[in-house]
Amino acid sequence: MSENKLTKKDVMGAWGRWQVYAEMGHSYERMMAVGVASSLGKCLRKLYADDDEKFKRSLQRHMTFFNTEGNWGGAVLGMALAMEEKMADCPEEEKDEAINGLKTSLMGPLAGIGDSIDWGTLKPIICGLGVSMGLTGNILGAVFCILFCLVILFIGNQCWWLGYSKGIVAMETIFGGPLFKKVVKSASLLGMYMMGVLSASYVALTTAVSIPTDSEALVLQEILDSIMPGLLPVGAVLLVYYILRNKTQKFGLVAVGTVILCLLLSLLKVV
Amino acid sequence: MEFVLAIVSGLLYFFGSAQIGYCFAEGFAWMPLVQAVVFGAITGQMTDAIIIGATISALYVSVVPAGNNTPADSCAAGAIAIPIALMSNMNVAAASALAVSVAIIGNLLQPIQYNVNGVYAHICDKHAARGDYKAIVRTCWMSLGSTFLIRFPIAFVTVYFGAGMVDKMMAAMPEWISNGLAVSGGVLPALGIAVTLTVIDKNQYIPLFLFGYFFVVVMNLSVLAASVLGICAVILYIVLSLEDQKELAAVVGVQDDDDDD
Repeated sequence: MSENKLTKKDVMGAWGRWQVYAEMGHSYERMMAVGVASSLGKCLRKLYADDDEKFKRSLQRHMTFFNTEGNWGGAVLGMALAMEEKMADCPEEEKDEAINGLKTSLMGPLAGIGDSIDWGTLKPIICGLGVSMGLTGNILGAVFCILFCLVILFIGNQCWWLGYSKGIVAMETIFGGPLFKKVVKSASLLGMYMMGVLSASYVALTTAVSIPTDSEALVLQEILDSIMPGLLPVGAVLLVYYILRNKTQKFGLVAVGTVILCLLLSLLKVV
Repeated sequence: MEFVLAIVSGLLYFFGSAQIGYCFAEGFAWMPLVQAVVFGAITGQMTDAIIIGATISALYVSVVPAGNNTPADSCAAGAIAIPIALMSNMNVAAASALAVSVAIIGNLLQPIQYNVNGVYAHICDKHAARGDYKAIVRTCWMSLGSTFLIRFPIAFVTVYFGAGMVDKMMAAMPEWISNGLAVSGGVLPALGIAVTLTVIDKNQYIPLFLFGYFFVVVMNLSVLAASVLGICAVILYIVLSLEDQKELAAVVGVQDDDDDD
């Protein structure tokens, strides 16, 4: 079977297709399955070039429910490809069990890592810097979004190849290793700090309340500023954080509620 | 102009919703800041477009599409609100209030798209049973057809007919409403920030958030300068703690694991 081995070009070609098809045809029923089968099909055909029955079975195997974060989770598909290759001569039942088991057990944890690092940390930091430039009308802000795409593409590329070439044991050592833990922890430390930095330029809130006294009116905003500048914006962020964390996670509801609350406060001449 | 912008709006919304190209769809088409470059180029109001796009992006920059339950449709928010705002010379605050309401459209349409796509999965099952992987790829592309029908018209119609309506509404608006919208434009980005805080999900790190915030507010550092400082501190933290760990391992003789979760 050695002539049926995959080359690096085959494996990374499948990654390229995955980057195009991953979310296309996404459905509630199978999630990313259509994208998985579309991406791996060509490699599977090569692996099972001389056995149509095995090829059909492998396509069906990859039409099962699958959902993950596309870049980090790609490592699972890289591993699945490696298993298809190594287990090519094993009985089909054994392959179904091993490969589907691998996919379903790892897709969730890797999606968790990917969502929090790619979309929860890198995107707010990198694109967030772009946004703060964009707020001043600087078109270069959009370049940061390109940079973000390149960074996560690189991550996805590396994860896919790592999954294929190193397999499950190496993945466990890397993701369980001290360096990776430090990186994940630092990502959330940096994320927290950056959210504070960005809040300062994103969020604006002042009050219009002034209390008439005998001599001159007490302007509430001036009093607040003399205590510490920027108290109201940071208070708004922490309040919304509290609501999203403890009360409701419906973003749309909170957003519309915020607009309504602002309108009410404006009517009452508080802001 | 309305017609061209409406077409572009529909196409952008379709492209982003169909997620053709994983990273690029979510990093580009879902970012109102990038959409703004397209609309700015068409209308010639680049600076206005970028400011509006950035303001809307600030709302959604940290909303994570976890498990594909998009909590808010930033693609619709930008693709529909930016052209309307540009055509009717809306201020930035009113544009972001409009974006928030438009984003709800996406939450209604996504279930339709994902249910319809189930049909393609079943077609692919048949192709898989016949061992025809090229047909699976074709079916994957075919799914774009229904996605187009679900997403394009709503953006097109809203932009094409919406701008005129918004114009009239803005003219008839009492002062407290426009003031309230302006205030909400300043407050809404707090949501984007707060969502990221919930994603990071580490209450004990909140002091770092305050640190970053007052660093900029009190010391008037630029955002870029403050972030460079932060990145340096983090690198230092990783390097130092790994060195500590090595020394510890050398002394104790075992590789001790970091146990902070």
